[in-house]
Amino acid sequence: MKWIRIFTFIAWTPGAAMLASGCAQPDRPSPGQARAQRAAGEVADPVGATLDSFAFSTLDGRPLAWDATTQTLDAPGGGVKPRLLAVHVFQPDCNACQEQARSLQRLHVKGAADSIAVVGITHRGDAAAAREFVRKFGVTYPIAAATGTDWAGRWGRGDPMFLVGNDGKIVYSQEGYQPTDLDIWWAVAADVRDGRVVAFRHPQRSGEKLTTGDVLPAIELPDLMTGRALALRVDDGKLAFVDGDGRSHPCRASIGFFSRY
Amino acid sequence: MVHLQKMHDRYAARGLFVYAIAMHDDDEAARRLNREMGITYPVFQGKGSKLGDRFAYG
Repeated sequence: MKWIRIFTFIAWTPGAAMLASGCAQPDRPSPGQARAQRAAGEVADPVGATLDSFAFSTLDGRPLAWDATTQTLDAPGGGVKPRLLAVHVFQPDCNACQEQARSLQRLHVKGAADSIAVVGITHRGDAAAAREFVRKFGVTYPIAAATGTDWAGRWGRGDPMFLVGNDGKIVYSQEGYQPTDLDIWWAVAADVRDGRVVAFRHPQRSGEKLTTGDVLPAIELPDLMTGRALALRVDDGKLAFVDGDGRSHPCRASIGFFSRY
Repeated sequence: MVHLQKMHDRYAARGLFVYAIAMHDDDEAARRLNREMGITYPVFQGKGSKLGDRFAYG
């Protein structure tokens, strides 16, 4: 048996899915699973939803606020009612977020004349990390450090970006990033400008989302620290970790995550 | 990572296996961070692996 069944929950960590797994599926949610589900409070499918209002400060202390009722953005330079608002909820040390910032910067610069506003809001990392992000990637659109806020917890799963129409509803969302996404954003902006109805969630392109009950392939990869072969697999129906010396250690359950540091 | 290290310290003897799959571009930076943070649970090198390409997300 080369597959590991995930039986408890998947949480979302900085840039990575956390996997809790074992060899069997319980008949009903464990207390931990139920707690995780209650705590999540995330927006399952944001397209069509109204982006919640927020009131944060930019990294230099000026207001950065979105009023979902009036669809007004209060940002450095004054209040605006954009035709399209791009909101990137990100973490400064996420590689994909950094690459995405370059394209968002282009959208910000070239889209301003077409009433497109771009903002970035952190859901992980502190203000110092956000400032370094701004410096390193030449970001000039407003950024707010909102890590730890309820808003960031509700909207930040998966480092998403939302395009919000001038009625306050999310017309497009994506998680993850590829350079061709900028073309999609321009196409969405053109549709919104021309009055066409848009409701589009970017299909998953990289990184399959695992969920409860899915199976994860056995992990057979080198140890980052030593280069020796490690494995997490099911042997004779039991989950086991095989260390760099080839010794097998049975485990009752496992928690792992993909880490981008 | 720190909290997972605490879980590892506390529950490994009771059968909980904590691990990470590193997707960092810079292996040495990742190793240095692991050392600095006192990470002792296994960290698989996942960058460029089929597993990482398929399942790493975000």
